[in-house]
Amino acid sequence: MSSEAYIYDAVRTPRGRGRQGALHGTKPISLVTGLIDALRERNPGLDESRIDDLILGVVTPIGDQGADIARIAAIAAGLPDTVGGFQLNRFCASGLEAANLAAAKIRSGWEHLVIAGGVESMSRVPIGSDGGAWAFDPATSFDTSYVPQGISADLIATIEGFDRRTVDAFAARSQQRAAAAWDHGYFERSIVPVKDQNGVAVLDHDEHLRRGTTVDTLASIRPAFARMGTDGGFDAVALEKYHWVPEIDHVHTGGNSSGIVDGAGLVLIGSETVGEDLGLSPRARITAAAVSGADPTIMLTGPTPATRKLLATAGLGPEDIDLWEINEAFAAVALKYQRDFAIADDRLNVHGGAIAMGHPLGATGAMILGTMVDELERTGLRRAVVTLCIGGGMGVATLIERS
Amino acid sequence: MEEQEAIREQEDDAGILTWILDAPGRTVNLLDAAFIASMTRRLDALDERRAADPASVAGIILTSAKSSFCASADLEAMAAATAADARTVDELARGWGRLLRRLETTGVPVVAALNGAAIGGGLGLALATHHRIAVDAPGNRFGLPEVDFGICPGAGGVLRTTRLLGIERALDELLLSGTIVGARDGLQLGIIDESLETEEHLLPAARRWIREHPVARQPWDAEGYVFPDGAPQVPTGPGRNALTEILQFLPARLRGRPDALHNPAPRAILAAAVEGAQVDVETATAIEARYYTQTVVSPVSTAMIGLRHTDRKAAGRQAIDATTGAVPDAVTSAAAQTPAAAGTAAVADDEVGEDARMSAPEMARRMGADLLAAARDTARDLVVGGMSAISVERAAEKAGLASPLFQAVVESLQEPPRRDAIAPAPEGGQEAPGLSTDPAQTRLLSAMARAGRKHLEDQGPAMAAALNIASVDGAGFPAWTGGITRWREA
Repeated sequence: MSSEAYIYDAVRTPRGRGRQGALHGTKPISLVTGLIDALRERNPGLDESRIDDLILGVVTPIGDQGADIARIAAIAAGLPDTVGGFQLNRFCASGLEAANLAAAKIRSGWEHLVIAGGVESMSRVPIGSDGGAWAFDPATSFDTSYVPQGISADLIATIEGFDRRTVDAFAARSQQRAAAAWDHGYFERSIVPVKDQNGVAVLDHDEHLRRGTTVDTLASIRPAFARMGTDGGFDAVALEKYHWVPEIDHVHTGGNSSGIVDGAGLVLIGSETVGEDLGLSPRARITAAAVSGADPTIMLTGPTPATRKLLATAGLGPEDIDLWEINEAFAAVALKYQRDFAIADDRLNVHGGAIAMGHPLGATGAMILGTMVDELERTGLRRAVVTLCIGGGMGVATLIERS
Repeated sequence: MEEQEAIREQEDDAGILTWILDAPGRTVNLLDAAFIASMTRRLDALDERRAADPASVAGIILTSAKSSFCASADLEAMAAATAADARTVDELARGWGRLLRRLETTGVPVVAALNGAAIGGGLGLALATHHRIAVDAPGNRFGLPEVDFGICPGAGGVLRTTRLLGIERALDELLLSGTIVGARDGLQLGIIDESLETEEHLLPAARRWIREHPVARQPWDAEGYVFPDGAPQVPTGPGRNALTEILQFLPARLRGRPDALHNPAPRAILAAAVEGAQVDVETATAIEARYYTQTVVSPVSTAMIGLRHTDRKAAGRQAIDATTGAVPDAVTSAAAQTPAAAGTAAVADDEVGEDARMSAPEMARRMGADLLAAARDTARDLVVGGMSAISVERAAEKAGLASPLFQAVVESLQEPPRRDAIAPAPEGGQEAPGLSTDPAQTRLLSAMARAGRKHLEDQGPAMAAALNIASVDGAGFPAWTGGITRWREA
């Protein structure tokens, strides 16, 4: 019997900042088991034998986070043997894809209760360290006009006319909004501090956040992708396709791009029946989800066609959406998306995003989905769209509603 | 039958066999079927002899009875090959690759005594020996210029130079540049091990090396061998090697070549180098043979062999020298007189009509002016038709027209790039109109070829070869087309 897919809970770890950060010494599996423990504590009625699967997005699934970390985390967390474990990879949208897959299975009636989310310890398993044909197989790279994402982001900024000050202003706002959200306790509902095996706190806040960031403090940071664009030859690759663009304006820096961090996020998704049986309160419903490819060279424009598909599926227009959350992979990605749907400033990324707090690749989708669940609940608003741009030229979008 | 062997054998008292490359009835040694058959018989005989008495052969010297050591495979056969011949070409290349592998793994020291040039497949043969001694004399040149013929080396030239020099050096200094060097530069580069002043010391030096190295194997067959700059590997953070750091940049760098998008050879060479470095020599041989085959059966290698081999022979050395010698002047003056070039070309047309018999340099100069005028008119038409000047420039670059000559054309368009001229990006999933510059490329090349072919009508078909060479070397028409008379719209 088919059912709506209800979100019963959403949790995340704080995000640790790189190799010098607090989470560098914490294994990715520990980030996941810590969150599973938190779901148990927060939901006393949770009968674990009713859980069908644990689905985790991981973008660099090797080493510490390789070999289907989801199944091993389920065992390590002491979940019943009957709970499966499935690791998936949709690059940066993996955490959201995990939630969408869980929702689809529940809506089909085949499964009833699923923990979905993602984990990424970027300080321990560097991005790109799993190789791959796109960047590392010359024939494939050549034939498909591969360029690194930073080149694509700068190309978007160039074409859209977002100059350095515009992208920096967006970044400064992300920092200010994230700081304000922390100060007002808006993340408290989701944040589960990371503890070690002795129960001693390791991290209880997002380390990447830089309070007091302004457009002026960002202005002095050097462009991150100019050299690989010119000396590395990637500008020429992109401009061969975008031949009407005179040159790429390299506006993105470490300050207006997403931070490299460690973290995990989980969402508890189930059918109406399982919620009633276990006494869980629905917090929101996943009512539609969509994926779309996009031109792989400009790469990061996928959220727009994915969202168009999403809205068409739901029979809604942009005016029906109360809150919008797009992953801040790069400032220009969010600014272009905002322009495409004419989104008001106070409806988009209301509590900042990955520019301020970081983007733990496989986990981010689940984290920002949780942020929107909290915010709809707090404000009493009805609908939110959550989306991420994706490597290789894709977008995934999810519609959640409270009614 | 010994007289008919392409590889003759002599033996000295010390048990050193000298294999003399001496294709009957030819002035050069070619890696053709007879040569391959002869090499097979030599290696079979060697195996039999050593099976009976392992100590009976002390070493092997490869040398040539011709003025050069060994050339490549048969270029005309390569030019004729089409997609239907893929299997035959691949089998031939892999068969030769297996023989080279046998040669370098017998355990018996093998020395190449290079009394003359070893180019292309000939150097590929020499690279499968354990030691290369060359005589430093004019004309004794060594290299793998296949890329200039639209071909990826197929006789182990990629897999062995990458293992010898490292992937990046082999690509930059030899394979992608098509560089040909003398003995001393070859020594510096690392493809030659000894350089001698005179030929009289060549065979004694080879014998001495064999005496000093009774057992020999290739560096890449030694235990613990690593590529000089590392082989491609899963880039696991701290374990990254020099190659992994640059690996993702290599295809992008390739695109800087004017022929990158049309000549399949540079891409094939890069791919064969990187893919071949991830596997054993036997598998690398098969991978290289596949990329070799892909380039051999391509129409681009047919055109480029036509331009660089057939035309060169047909035009005759004297005519070519006269043509190419005069051309740089024509380019410089045409580029300098851009605003007036249309008028000049018109005058030239009239003159051609009156006197069709002119010297080669004069012919090249006039054709250069005509090609320039045709390119400029077409470029202007494209801009009038709504294409931005920057897109026309990119189309020209993509076609391989990135010459100073064409630069003058672009500058004559006089439309500075404007930010407001940037069209919106194509939305994900949909192709925006104008995403490809291919039609513009075709129009530019066709207009130039038409202008060039007019000279063919005036000069007569006998001049086709010279016109092709002049159009490429002198007028900046892209080499991958094979020259103006070979360019046809698809």
